[in-house]
Amino acid sequence: MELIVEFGFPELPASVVAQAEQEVADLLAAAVRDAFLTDGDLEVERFSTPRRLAVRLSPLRAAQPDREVEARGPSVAAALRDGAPTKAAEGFARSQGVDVAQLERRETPQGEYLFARRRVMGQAADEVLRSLIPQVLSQMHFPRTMRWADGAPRLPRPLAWALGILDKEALGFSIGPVRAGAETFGHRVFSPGPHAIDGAKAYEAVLRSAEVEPVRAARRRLVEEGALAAAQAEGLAAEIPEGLLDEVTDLCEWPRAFLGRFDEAYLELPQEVLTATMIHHQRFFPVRRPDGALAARFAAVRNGGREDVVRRGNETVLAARLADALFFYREDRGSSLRSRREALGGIAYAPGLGTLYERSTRLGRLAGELAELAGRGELRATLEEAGALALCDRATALVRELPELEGTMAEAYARLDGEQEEICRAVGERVLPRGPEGELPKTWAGLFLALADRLDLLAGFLASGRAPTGSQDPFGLRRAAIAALRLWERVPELPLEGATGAAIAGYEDLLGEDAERARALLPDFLAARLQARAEDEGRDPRQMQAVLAVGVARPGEVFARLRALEEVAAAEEFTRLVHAARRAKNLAQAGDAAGAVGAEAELLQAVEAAEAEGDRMLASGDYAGQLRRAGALYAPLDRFFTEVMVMSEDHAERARRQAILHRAHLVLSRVAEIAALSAE
Amino acid sequence: MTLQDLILALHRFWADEGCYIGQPYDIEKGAGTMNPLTFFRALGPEPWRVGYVEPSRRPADARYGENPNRLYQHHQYQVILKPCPADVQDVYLRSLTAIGLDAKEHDVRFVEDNWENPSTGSWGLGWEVWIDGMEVTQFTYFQQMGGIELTVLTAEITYGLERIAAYVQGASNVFDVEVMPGLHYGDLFRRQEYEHSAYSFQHASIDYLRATFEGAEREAERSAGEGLYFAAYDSVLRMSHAFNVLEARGAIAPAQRTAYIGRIRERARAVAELYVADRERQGFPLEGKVRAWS
Repeated sequence: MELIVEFGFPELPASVVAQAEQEVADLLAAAVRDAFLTDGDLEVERFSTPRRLAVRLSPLRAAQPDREVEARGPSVAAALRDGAPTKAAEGFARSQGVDVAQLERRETPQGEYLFARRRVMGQAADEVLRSLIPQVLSQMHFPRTMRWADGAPRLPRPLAWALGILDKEALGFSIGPVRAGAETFGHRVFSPGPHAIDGAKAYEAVLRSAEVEPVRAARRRLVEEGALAAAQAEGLAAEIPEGLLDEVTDLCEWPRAFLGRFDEAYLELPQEVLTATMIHHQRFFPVRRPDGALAARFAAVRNGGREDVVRRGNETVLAARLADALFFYREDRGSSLRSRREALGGIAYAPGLGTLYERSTRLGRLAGELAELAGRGELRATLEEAGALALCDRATALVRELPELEGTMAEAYARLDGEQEEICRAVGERVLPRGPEGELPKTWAGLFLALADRLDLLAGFLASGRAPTGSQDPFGLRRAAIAALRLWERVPELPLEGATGAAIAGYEDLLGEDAERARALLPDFLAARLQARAEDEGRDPRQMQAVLAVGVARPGEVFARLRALEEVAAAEEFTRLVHAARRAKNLAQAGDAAGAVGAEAELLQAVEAAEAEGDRMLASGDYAGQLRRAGALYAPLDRFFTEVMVMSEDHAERARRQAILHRAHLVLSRVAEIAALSAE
Repeated sequence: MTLQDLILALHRFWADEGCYIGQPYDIEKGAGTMNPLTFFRALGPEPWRVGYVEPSRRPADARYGENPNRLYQHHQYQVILKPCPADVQDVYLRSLTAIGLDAKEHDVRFVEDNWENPSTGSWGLGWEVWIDGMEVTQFTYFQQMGGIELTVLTAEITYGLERIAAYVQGASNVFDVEVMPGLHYGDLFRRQEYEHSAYSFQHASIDYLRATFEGAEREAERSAGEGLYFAAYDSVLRMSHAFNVLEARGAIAPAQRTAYIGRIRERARAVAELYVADRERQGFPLEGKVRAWS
């Protein structure tokens, strides 16, 4: 049998459609499998538009098979007294619908228990599906949901209709006030419907005749090919950023592309301003000439309306935005970027943290010190210069109007002013990465300036007592820490203490002794972000804890250490090493190891060899190598624990043995504290 | 279609949909949502349908009458439908037809845009509605008002009147919009825009505004203590506007912002709670009263 299920909505957020399409299909397929409605291979077809999520499954059984189910009841101790069944046993038998005499005794790892076995008659598929489909909606995850009807699951938008058809029969389940039927709805304006679906197979054909393309990949292709073809018709090339393509796909049900134009005069604007306006504000695809320069055209997609009317309207809206931008741009070009630095003195950075002028001085100096600490001191002069220019676009009209162009405009204006190319790049890259997955700087100067930007922010706000609490992070400190850590991975040799110290030094004049507060807070703050990121990525939180237990002397190394630990910990013999490391840690005490004999001497020798060799490996960044080298301590440790009594009555002997274990513990805690992985 | 005809057409349309055609409330506010006709009536189980024009003041958006789109005071057409009908989007599309924007001609999109007003403790999910790429309406399913979770699904539709008029008339500058034959938006508002911009950005007395904020805060608390929630709410609106001007004036540091907003929210919540309790005491008198709402 074949099943089609569709949930209809008023427009879902474009950002949730693709993921929701996948999730609803996964959940429904899993529910059908768990309900014994499939014999094995299940073909799952997914559909979605902004107004619907749908799944088609086949082949389905007409009914569940009859099957035997088993339930565990009370323990024999509780169920039988002097061989006679207690109330517990009788109650259990009753709940399972079997006779007490039919209960079986069976041994389990927890002791002897009573079991009931009974045959369950399979139910018809339509009956099972009626109760199973509504549950699927309640299990879905959406970033933001709303209450829309009593007794109905929270959803991103109210459920407008539902459809469920098994072969040709409507299933008729209910979700809140919505009763499922065998009808769908077409394009809101051109072909609203309702349209009857005559059998699961007919689904997409009915929708296509109602001017809806329900296959997301096909709709995405229509958008992309449509935009390309529209530009091609004039010998031009549409630029198709992936993110925009996805968004436009999920903003329409029946996409038709067209080419619009704007006045050539706006080409005077830097191309970043043009593309940002088109992409972010209007969801237009920029169009380029064969030589790569922007053309005074855009490719757009409409979901309805008449092409000439829609084109004219979109052209008007874009023209208004570009007129604004050009006005501000011309005003900005009246004076150089550099000349705006004085104006930064009138813009507060944050209360108690001075002005943007002061911050720009701090950034240049801090970026230079970071470069120095990372062995690139030759960049110092460039970075001081870049720091002085980096925030000047905050005093421009265009950035005041289009704040997302901060950094981009600093770079563009600096270049127009004829500043050195290295400096132009650096002030543009200062704002990178723009999000958790955003692009990182490509130049060294840009990298140090971007890192200085985040560390200055973290130091200033932590020192002035504005750490985030709970879900509240009004100053974006967590975001800044995540960006800082990603930047740091590009300069893993940069030490935390030196970098933090330099960032704090920038605030000494402003905050006096308070600046020191950041020194204690920053390492923990970064460690918490590292831990959160590891968990977000689905890594074992205990392994990250073990890595962090060694300290974050070089934050840029932490993930490399974690990956090394994951690699080594995958080996089977690792568990026994953890156990030995744990014993060593518990008994360890720093002291003099001189005078070792027998198994002690063997362990000490192994430790010394591992120290020397491991250090060389660490110096070259071979964390997995050091972990494996430390792992070789297992055999001598094992012999040591078998043959040597650590807590000897003889004080000297005991101190020596504890000292040897201490050194072993240190070797086992260079990349990560292996003992910390013990479950004990 | 002139701006005036646009308003009249919306009045006619929404009156026919069973809305009470209300009036703006005469205390400065940032949005039509803050009119008591919305703030209070969205609370509790009683049904409600209303449509009205609200002059909305946003000091930070003031541009001395020089920007073709940005205004200190713009006019919103505000509609509340409680409970929200299942076909609310279709009703809205029909209202566009009534003002000359036929969805068969124009490309209408519902683009996710959730709404939040932290200073009244209110939020909802919804869309900005685009016509041919221009944002003309904010559509929100309210979820919370005055810090209180809403029990009845309520839709708010807020039309940006100047933008729609400019679009319908093909005007690229709001000041060129025709209000009635021969009378233009600039004739009425350009000087007013200039003055309020100059006042908000340069001349407003910070001491006066702070004192106003604090005085209104005390008054809101005192009137609420007497159970006078409508009176207390007027003071909440005064707090909110004083805060908006202080912010435009550059007198509120980013770190103080949250605290100011929290103080307004606390007062708003107190009046919302009083309203709900009083309506309950009265037995929710609007339930079942108006035939068009059931």
